[in-house]
Amino acid sequence: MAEWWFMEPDAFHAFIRELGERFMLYAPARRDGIVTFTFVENHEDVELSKRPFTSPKAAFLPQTEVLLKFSLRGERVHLSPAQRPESPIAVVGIRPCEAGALKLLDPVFSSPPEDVHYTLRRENALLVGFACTSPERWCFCTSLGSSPFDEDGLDVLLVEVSGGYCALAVTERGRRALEVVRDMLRKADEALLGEIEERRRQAERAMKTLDVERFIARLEDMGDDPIWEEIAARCIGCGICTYLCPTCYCFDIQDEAGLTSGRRVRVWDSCMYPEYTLEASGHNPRPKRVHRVKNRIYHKFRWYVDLFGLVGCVGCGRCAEHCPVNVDIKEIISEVVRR
Amino acid sequence: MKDSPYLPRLARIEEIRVETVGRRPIKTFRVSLKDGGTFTFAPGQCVMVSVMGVGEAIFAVSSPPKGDGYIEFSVMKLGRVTSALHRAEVGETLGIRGPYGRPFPVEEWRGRDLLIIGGGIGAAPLRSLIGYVLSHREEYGSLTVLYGARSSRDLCYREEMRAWAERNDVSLHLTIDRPEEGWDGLVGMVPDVLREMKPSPENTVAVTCGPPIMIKFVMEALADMGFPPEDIYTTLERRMKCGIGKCGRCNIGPLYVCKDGPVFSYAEILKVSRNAGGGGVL
Repeated sequence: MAEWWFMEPDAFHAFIRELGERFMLYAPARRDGIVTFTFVENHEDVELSKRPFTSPKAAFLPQTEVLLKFSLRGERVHLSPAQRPESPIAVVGIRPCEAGALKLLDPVFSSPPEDVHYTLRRENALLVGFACTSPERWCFCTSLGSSPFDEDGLDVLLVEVSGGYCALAVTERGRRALEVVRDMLRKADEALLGEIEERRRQAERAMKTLDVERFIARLEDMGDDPIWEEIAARCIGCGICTYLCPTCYCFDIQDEAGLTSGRRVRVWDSCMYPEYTLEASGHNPRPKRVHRVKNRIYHKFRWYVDLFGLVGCVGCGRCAEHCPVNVDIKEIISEVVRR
Repeated sequence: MKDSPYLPRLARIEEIRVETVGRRPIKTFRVSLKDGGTFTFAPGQCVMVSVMGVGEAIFAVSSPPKGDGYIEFSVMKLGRVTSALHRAEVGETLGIRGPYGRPFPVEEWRGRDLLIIGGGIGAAPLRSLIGYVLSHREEYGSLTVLYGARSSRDLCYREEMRAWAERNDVSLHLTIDRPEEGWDGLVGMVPDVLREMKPSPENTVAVTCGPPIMIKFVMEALADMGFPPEDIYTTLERRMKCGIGKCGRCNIGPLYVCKDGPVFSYAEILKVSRNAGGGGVL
């Protein structure tokens, strides 16, 4: 039986300070006034109070990363592979839905040929989750098989309680991580367990429920429905939905070079841009916004299911939260189900 | 420690042949691996070619597999990487990744008649296939090739075509869009010429590659003439970055052209086309 441990704020800080000794800490911190996931040097910067602007996917799929370096000397070309990460990554404050999102990225990058740039970071990482005691109005994770206190995919789950946090070691790796501050933990008593349970119930009750299963089934014959034109008419193609989506992973590869040396970098890309599929001949297989809007929804809700048996959305709602023209995935799901 | 799948092998340009000149010229590059290794590939597969400092682009292998350590690919000068390749000279170093993708199912086609229909630079993967069939000639029935381009100057692999035309086990039909003085071949767009040829679907596999619009009309023409969609094959092209099914952009519905293709049957294409989210599959 898994056990909950209580830690006071001091113990929590000691815990992440200790993690910082052995891992590169990736956690929510305030940067330019916005709480966002980032690598933090000082554990005191970690700020769990509100859901970060970004998801933590960039810990494993950085927005820009060097895949290889090269030097050019006349006809001589020398290639050097990218540097391996020195120490493993500990993501602190990852939400259950975001841990679920990593489990959706895993099959893409680990299926042969393995993308070692991603898998090496991922395999050695420690995920310290933070339960969502007050879900956002955008959230609908319970419609996608997860929940605000879901432990799946995490090593440790933290829940904010009165006077501090309660921690649950989900995996052996998580148990070993907590072991370091063992002296500062005490077993959660009945009252605390009751509080955790109450907070869990409240969070789950606050969640919107959508019939995603029916949505997925309806998509089968919705390919020609006018709904895609209606969405495309509002969409301005800014791509923010894809950048903030914890399950979007599309990337571009570009060379950056001077006269004698350079590097090949991978950068995030977005299927919402026409240039994404534009060929040098001028031909574009997805020339219109409606094609791109439809491709994005179908990729997540149909083809991910076909390919991996998983739905490619975790219900975090960031795409809707930050869409400048209020395209809301929850409304799309309800509307398709209704039609 | 496992290697990055994005790390190319270095290759030396051994030979460059000018196929066509003009506004969109085509050159064929013959390369060998600098590490002394050989390429193992099958007709229809692709390679990701790097010009270090410029970038990567995917090309169909245009030579047949011979196990001689060389591969060839043909490049039309259009964008950044293809323009850099057209500036390259013999002896220069390129990066090569691959081969990638699902090849033509040549083993399944044993005993069948083959009808191969190409247009322009689309002849590149077909040249690999034809070369393979000619070196396994007894395993296949009749071999008919219909190849077209805008003008006689835009036809690729002209010397090889001449050699094929002289063989009695290849039936070669060349066509150009508009009449030209001294041209003794056919005149007309490939799909129209195909309809006039009225090939029999009996025990025949049809394979086509060319500009997207040509592929579309050729596949429709073949279907109209009674070819079952399972016996019509094409090989597609998409903008690609990874070549290994990860970067996302080359999908047609749930299929990735880089790893599930580039070779598809018309039946497979029809199946995914309805919800594919594009302005058409091609």
